[in-house]
Formats: sequence, structure tokens, C-alpha cells
Amino acid sequence: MIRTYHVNKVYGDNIQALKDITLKIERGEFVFLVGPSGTGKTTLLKLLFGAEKPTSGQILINNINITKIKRSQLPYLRRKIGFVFQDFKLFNYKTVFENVAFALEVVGAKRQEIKTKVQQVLGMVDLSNKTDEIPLNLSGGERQRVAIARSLVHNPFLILADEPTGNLDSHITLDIINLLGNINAFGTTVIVSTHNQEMVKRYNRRFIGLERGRIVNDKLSSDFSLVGAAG
Amino acid sequence: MSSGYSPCLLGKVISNVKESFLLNLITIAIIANSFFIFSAFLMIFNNLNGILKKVGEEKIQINVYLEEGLSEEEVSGIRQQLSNLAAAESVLFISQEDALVHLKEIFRGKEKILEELEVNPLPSSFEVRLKNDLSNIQEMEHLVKKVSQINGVDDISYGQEWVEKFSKFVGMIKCTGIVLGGLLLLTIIFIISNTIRLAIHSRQEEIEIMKLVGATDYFIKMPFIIEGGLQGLSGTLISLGTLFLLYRFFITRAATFFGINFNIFSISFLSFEVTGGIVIGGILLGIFGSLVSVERFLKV
Repeated sequence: MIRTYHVNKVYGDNIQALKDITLKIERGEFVFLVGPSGTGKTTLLKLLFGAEKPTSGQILINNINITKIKRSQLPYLRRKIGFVFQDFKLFNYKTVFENVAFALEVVGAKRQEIKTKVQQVLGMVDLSNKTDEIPLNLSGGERQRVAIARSLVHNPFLILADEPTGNLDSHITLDIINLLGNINAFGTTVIVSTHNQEMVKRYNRRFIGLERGRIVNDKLSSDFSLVGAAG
Repeated sequence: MSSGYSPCLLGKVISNVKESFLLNLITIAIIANSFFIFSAFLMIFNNLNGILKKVGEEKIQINVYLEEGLSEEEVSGIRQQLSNLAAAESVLFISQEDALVHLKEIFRGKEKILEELEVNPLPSSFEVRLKNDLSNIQEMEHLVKKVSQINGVDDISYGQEWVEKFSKFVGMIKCTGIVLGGLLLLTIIFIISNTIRLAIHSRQEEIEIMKLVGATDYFIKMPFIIEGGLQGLSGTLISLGTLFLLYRFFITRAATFFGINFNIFSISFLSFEVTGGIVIGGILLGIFGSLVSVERFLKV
């Protein structure tokens, strides 16, 4: 499903964000990407999303080499990869329904199709009763669920979540991770980046530890011990 | 359940305009203001050129003084040669007697000075009015030289100093106008481009979200480009409409108040072609300003 081969990412003159990243993630896996701030988690997710290109190395997603993908092809890749951000990235002036529907508008979906699909994904994230609310009137957890719902409309094979619970309380954090876990149960590959060790320990999932741009750990969280990690 | 989404392009433009209404209004106001200044400058410059041309028309004449003792046939021959000049519009013969009458009018109240004259010293002359073309001023010297070579012509006067100065003045006005107009145009292009860039920059997050959910570059760019074109169109129409209303007010009400008849100088509004050019220029500026600005964010 996802293969990276000796991926390096250097910014500016000599800021090496990622060093020799080689990993393999199979379809249907749930993976935590763990490490303190500045270790390259967001950079790696951006590379997987095609938002940036590696300085060297190859990245294959479903056998497509995304390091060589044309800019005109990126939108079609992104429709099959959902991305969830720490700051939600919602339109504050659009309702919940409109925010989710927007992801279908951009592909020219018909009105009825949009209505059906949006209702379906909002039901999955338990926000069917909030369709007419605007994000400013929602809690942090609810906003994140809207963002997750939006990422689901195209039935993605992969969801990338960059610190999705960074701005949320601990009990909301569990809700969000559980939601992502439920999505994963339907076969979607999920990669969640976090610096929250405690959260990772609760779940018996694979985690990949990053430190100064390098992979230092790759194991199940039952064997969790992250060298030099800061919570 | 709300479903305020607009899948078609025009619908997207309309919803964009609604969502950024104040920003659009400010952008249009800046475009309108900039083009108003430019259009007003153009109008003033065009009319100034027209006035100068009209003033120049009344002065474009040469006086050809004849030698003494020419026969009627010789005078007639000179008249024919002068009439055949390409630049000549009309040729008027002023006899010695006519010249003296004209001099007496100038010295009205002081006729005693002229009573001392025993003989009429004034020569007969031809007053040659030139065709309504300012380039005749610039070619005056060449024309005068040609006329001076006609047999029977004693002297020529055409207000040399005035013509040279007027010609230089007109040339200077034109150069200044072109330079100022060019600078003004560059300034408004810069202002409008920056205004559009800032407007799109403020919608950077919107563009990021569109990229995030898999919108193509075309889907992202086109509404902004159309919006930019509409802003350019609205701005130029408002500027020209305002200028026209001010022009009409000035010509009618202000003229009546100050007792000035502007019809003497035929103050005119911008021509249809220039007006059309300004509108098209505004639309293109809006379109390209938006295109360049959005492209920057798409590349990030």
C-alpha cells in the first residue's frame, strides 16, 4: 500500500527534516507516527499527501510513484487520501453540511448525490443533528468530526491525520481516536501523527517513532518505549 | 437542512462574491478610483490638445507683403501661386487703402498722428490662412521660404516668435502628457494588481482547503479569474459613469453659474473607442491580476 525508499527532505541550505526514511505500511493498517515536535512527522505526512516532494528517494502509494506525479494529477490522488489537520481547516462561514458537501462540489457531484453522501458521513461521525450549525458554534471535538466527515466523502483508501487531537481535551481525544479506529475497521488505512505518548499507549496499534528526522522505532504499542520522546 | 452549495461555475462566482462582499466592494472602489483619475487625466489632456489646436488655427496665417508698383496681372499671378499652396486654406488681398483704413482703426482717437503722413507707406499684402493642422506650424519656416521665392513678394510675417514658442509649447504638452499618462497608467496597474493580490491573499485559507479536498487548478482558478474580470468591469464602469456625470454637470450647471460658454471650446467627453478601451483594459487587468495571484498560491 505505502512504500517509501530512502526518502530525504532538506529545507533551505541544510535543514534536514527527514533522513533516509524507508518504511512499509499495508492496506488496512492503523499506524501512529510518534515523536516530539520538530521530528518530521508533519513533513512525512505532507510527502505522503503530495503537498511536497522529497529531496531524494521514492514514495509509492498503491503502486503509484507520487514523487513523479504531475501537478495536474495531484487533485485526483488527494480525493482518495483524506487529510485531517490539528486546526480542522473548515470554512467558518459555511454550515456543517456545506463544509462536507464542498468536497463533493469540487468533483462536480450532482445535488442528490451530495445530499445522500453528506448525510451518510455525518451519520458516521454522529453529527446528523448539527448540519445547520457553523463551526464557530461547535466544540473542538465536533469540529474535528466535521473535518473527518469531509475526508470520508470520497471513500478514501488512506486517511492522514496530523495531530488531530492536539487542540482537544483528553476525553475528546479518545473519542476522535476511537472514531478513526472505527473508520479503520472498514478497511481504510489510517496514519495518525502525535506527540502524545499516553494516547499511543492506550491503543494496541503499530507505532513508528521519529527522532530528528529518522525512524528510531517501528513496533506495536504494547512494546512501547520511545527514546527521548517528550509528551 | 441547508444546502447552500452551487456546483456550477457561475454559481460559485456568485457565492464567492457574497462571501467576500466587503472585500469585493473595496477592491472595486480602488479600481474605480484609479481609473477615474486616469480617465479624467485623459479627458483633460484630449480637450487641452483640442483647445490648443483651435487657438493655433486662428493664428495659423501668414502675411505676404508685396513690392511697390506691381500690375494687376502680377498681383493676380501671385494670388494664384499662393492659392495653389497645399497648406493654404484661403487667400485674402489687402490693398494699400484697406491697410490704411485698418491702421486708422488701430489709432482711433489719435488720428492726428496719421494726418502727418503725406503718402500711404503701407504696402498691399495677401493674408494667407493655413489649413487646420498643427503640423503646419512646425513646417512654417519651410512654407515661408517657398513663398519668399515668389516674384513680387517683398516680405513675409507670421509671428515667427509666437509660432516657434507655440510649437514648442504644444510639443512639450504632448510629451508631458504622454509621460505623465504613462506613469499614471503604470501606477494604477501597480495599485490594482496589489489590491487584487491582497484580496486573494486574504482568501489563502480557502484556496488551501480547496486543494486539500482535491479541487483541480481549473476549479480553483476560474472563479477568481471571473471575479477579477467582474471587478475590473464594475470598477471601470463606475469610474466612467461618475466622470460622465461630473462632465455633464460641469458643462451645464457650472457653466451657467460662472457664465462661461464651454461650447466655444467644444469640451468633449472621451470618445467611444477610448471608453471601450478603458473598459476592456480594466477587465483584462482584473483577469490577469487574479490569475497571477492565484497561481502563486497554487504553486505552494
